[in-house]
Amino acid sequence: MALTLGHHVFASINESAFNKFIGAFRLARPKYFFYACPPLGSGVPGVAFYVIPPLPIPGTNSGMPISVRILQASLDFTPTQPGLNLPPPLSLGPNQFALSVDLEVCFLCGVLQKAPDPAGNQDRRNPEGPGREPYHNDGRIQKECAKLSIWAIGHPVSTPNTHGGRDIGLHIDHLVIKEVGALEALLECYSETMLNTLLDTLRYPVEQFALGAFGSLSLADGPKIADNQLKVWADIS
Amino acid sequence: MDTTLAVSEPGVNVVLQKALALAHASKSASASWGPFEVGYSASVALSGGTATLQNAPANKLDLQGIHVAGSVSAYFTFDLGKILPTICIPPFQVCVSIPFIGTVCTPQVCIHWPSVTMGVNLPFAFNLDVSFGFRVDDLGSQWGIDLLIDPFSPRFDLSPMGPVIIAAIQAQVSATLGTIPLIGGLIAGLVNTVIGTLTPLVSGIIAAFGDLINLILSLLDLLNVSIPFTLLKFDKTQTFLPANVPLMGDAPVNMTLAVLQAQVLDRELVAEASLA
Repeated sequence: MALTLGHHVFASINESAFNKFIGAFRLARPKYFFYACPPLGSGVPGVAFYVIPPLPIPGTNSGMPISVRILQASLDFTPTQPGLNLPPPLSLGPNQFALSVDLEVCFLCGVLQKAPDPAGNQDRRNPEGPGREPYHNDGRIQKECAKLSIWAIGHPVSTPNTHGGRDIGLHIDHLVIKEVGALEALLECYSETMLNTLLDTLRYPVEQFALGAFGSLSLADGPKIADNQLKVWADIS
Repeated sequence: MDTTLAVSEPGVNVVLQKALALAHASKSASASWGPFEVGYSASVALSGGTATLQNAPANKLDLQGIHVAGSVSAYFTFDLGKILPTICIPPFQVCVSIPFIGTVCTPQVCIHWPSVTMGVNLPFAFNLDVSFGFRVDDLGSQWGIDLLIDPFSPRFDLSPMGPVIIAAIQAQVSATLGTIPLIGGLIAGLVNTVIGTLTPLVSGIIAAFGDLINLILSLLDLLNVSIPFTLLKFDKTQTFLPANVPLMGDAPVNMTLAVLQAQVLDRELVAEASLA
């Protein structure tokens, strides 16, 4: 069966290529897989890990060092690969992808770092009043980590880019984290925001594919996910 | 394979038309045929044509009806003195030897024939059918899907140029001779003499024009039988995310097109690649 379906050009990328891309992305930009306060990061800050502020301790201008590391991420384009067990209520439908991510979240207990103090609080603080030192956990320093397994489903998107073309990318629609009790909704909200932000950085201008092979390429249809591939159709002008 | 690219037959036609629009060349030469020295140049441009794809295992691209158009500009130079007989008026001169005076002759004027230089522009047009095979070539930093043209012999008929050349020379010679006094009644015969000399040579001149057009065609990238024509090029290093996007200092995210293969399936040019 013809692939171009009435258009000049058809291009597809297999899920295996996407997973290779995730590996290449991690190798080139490890910081997007590791967000940490400096005591928990390793390597060059800003390169090996993305520097984030400590988790604020309410009532103080200090915070507890925190890190979030993406241990593993893999994509599966519809139809579902054998062995991928999406937790309910997730199920992979037409034109969808599944994402499985393992996260590790760590706190460095017993360590407090100066945290940015919102201006509103400084305005109300009495400079003559007694200073209140934050609680120091008796000097014991302990790294506490928890691993989270995340499953998500989403769909491909295309958005106009600044070059007059279109970027294609992926967007998560629904995400599930299991075995975190009452925190489930909070962590799912946070993780979905974080992963969609990360996916936004991975958008790819379709006209850049094989640049030079064609004079000018414009997206005519897609992106669509089917047959374990992300597919686009374009016309040459 | 990690990625697939297919180009439809209409898509291939669009790409080829862009290539054909750039296919133009010119060349010049000169030679002598008898008393006629001819400097000539030809320019050729390609346009049109329809590409059809033949599925594997043939894996062929047929390009039919390419319009080849151009013109030959020819400059003829010839000395009429090498063609026309010497003409003196009156034809005979009578000389007598007179004692104490010397030889005395009756008056006679002999005509010095001039040289003629004239140009003629000869447009031509014909259609060409060619066939190509596909090959993937390693171009260093790029992969190329190349077209290899099957040897071809363009068939075109330049014989209509013959009467045009003869008519142009006839007119020029008539005009030139018309400026010479005393030969009015002879002009028609003299012109016939020039044309009679030229006519047997015209086919050789036109054949040389044809050789030059063939040479120009062989120099056009698309029609060169020795050098593959790259239809599509793909950078081996594909930059999926450029440097400094979205943040300054972000390294580029590159992947390598490790293997590329191409064939014609369902009348589409299908290229498949592995990424590393």
